[in-house]
Amino acid sequence: MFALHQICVDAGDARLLHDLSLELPATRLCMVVGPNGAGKTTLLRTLGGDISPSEGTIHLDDQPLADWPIRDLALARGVLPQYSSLDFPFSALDVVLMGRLPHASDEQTDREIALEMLRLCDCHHLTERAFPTLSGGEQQRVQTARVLAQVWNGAGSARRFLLLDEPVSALDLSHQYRLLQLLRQLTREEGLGTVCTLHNLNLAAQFADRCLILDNGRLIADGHPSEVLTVETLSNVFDLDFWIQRHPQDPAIPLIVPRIE
Amino acid sequence: MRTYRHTRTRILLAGFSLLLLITAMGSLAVGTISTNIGDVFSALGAAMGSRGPDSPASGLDQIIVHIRLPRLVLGILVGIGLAMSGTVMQALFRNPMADPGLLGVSSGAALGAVSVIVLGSAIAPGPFSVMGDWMLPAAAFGGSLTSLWLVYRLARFNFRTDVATMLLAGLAVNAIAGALIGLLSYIASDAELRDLIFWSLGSLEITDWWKLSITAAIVAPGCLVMLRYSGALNANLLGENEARHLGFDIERIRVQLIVLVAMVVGVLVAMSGVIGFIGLLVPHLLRLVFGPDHRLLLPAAGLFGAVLVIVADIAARTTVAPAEIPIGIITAILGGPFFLWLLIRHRRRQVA
Repeated sequence: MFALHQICVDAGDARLLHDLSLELPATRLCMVVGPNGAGKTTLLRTLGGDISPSEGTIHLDDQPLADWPIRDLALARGVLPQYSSLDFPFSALDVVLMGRLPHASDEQTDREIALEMLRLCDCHHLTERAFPTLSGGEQQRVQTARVLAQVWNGAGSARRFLLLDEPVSALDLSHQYRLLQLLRQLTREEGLGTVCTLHNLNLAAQFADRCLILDNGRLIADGHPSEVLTVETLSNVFDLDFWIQRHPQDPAIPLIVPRIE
Repeated sequence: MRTYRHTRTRILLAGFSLLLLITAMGSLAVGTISTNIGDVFSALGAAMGSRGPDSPASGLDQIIVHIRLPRLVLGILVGIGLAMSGTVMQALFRNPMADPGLLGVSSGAALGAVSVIVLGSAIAPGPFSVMGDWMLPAAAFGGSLTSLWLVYRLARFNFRTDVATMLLAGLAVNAIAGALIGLLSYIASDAELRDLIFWSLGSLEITDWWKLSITAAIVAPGCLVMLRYSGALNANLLGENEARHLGFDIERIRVQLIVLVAMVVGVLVAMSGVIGFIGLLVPHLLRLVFGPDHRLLLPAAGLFGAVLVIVADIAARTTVAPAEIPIGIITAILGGPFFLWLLIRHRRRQVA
């Protein structure tokens, strides 16, 4: 479990996160939504250890994050950044295999896992292609496969976390849904704790076990999507009117439609 | 399929080793005084004290063992050291245009070495005479470490290094080191001046086995340690944060690799002067053919770098025999156009 206690993050004079306290257990798919500059990426980067909070504490499984050996963290936590560049001509398979670098498993096992992750992310036809020649969405899927290969352990015993910063930003509609279905399934079956930032509120409504709404570095709402994705909260946060209707597939899922004058 | 990658890596590395062995034997046989492979074997045998009864004692043995062999060994060390340093720098800067020569690491080392030559005996005659053989590589190491650190800090922005910024930083360091070397040449004596020219053009001329042992004692373990970082270098190409997320303490690894590269380049420049473009050319050519995986690329670059330097040295010795062209000129003639081609290719890719 990730436990954040009164976290503040500053960058120069700007306070990016204000007094944030949260507990993020495993086996939950938690989605973070909010406008640009709300602090979604900052929250993820804080959990990922890229930035240290100026105040407050973060614990992972009752141990302060800073006290974890880097190697052990790599086995307990996979991170997909919003954007990363790779100009060197590694094949898609090579990139996914890098996710296995922290593991002591043998080459054959690593290769099987990498191919399986490529298949799960619908990239099996890209296996031997050079990464820089892939399209933006294909690169994003390959990088996602790499992070999945990193947290994969099959036995599903140890608790692992998956931190994904806008994993569907470059994906077409069908791959957005397929990836989120996959994440929901892996979160439950593999016992992962998944934290994922997202801009599409309807995807959050449909797939999240829990939804965090951030605005101006503050946590505005935290709970099941059907509880927190309300007209009042959303119109305050996004400065826009909304209709919220019932999803044709499941009336419990809110269907969010912006109201343009 | 099981150990496909390992098998491929081993076969390729064995191939490169064989190529190096053949080139090395060729290099011992070729020269102003022409000899054949039989002479080479008999001379090597004689040197190791296992002379056959029928082989004559000759001046040929002397030439092969005391002139060509140390030169060959230095050439191999230069090739391995510069090519692997270039490969490591490219992965560290996440930038395929990094090279010890272009980024001013070699000229920083040359400045250190030249300072010792020109100023050493004047400033500190005592320690200079006591540890003369070590002063030169130590000063060169100081110079290469300073310039590498400087370029790294200047070129790194937002966790990645922009090609233009990096090359400009290298240009600036090269200019500063060049100017200071020029300044030192004004107060240098005639004999020291000849040394300075030697430094700026590069040469594998060495007859002193003690100096050669110092070089080997630093370059060989330095390069062996570099091999241990293959996985970290692969991960670093994904990004610094990504490498840390994959379990590599990238801040510490970066410092270790910068010191290693500075050590290897420093001692090589102290012994052989500035030999450019090996670190740029070799990893590039190998990446085009075998891909960027450092588990193969790094050792292959070392072996192929040695082959390239030996071939360049054969060319340097035979083109205008009995005179000799400095090897740095040969590598620059090969490397300069190659560098231009890379720049054009890089620009096209940015436009596309």
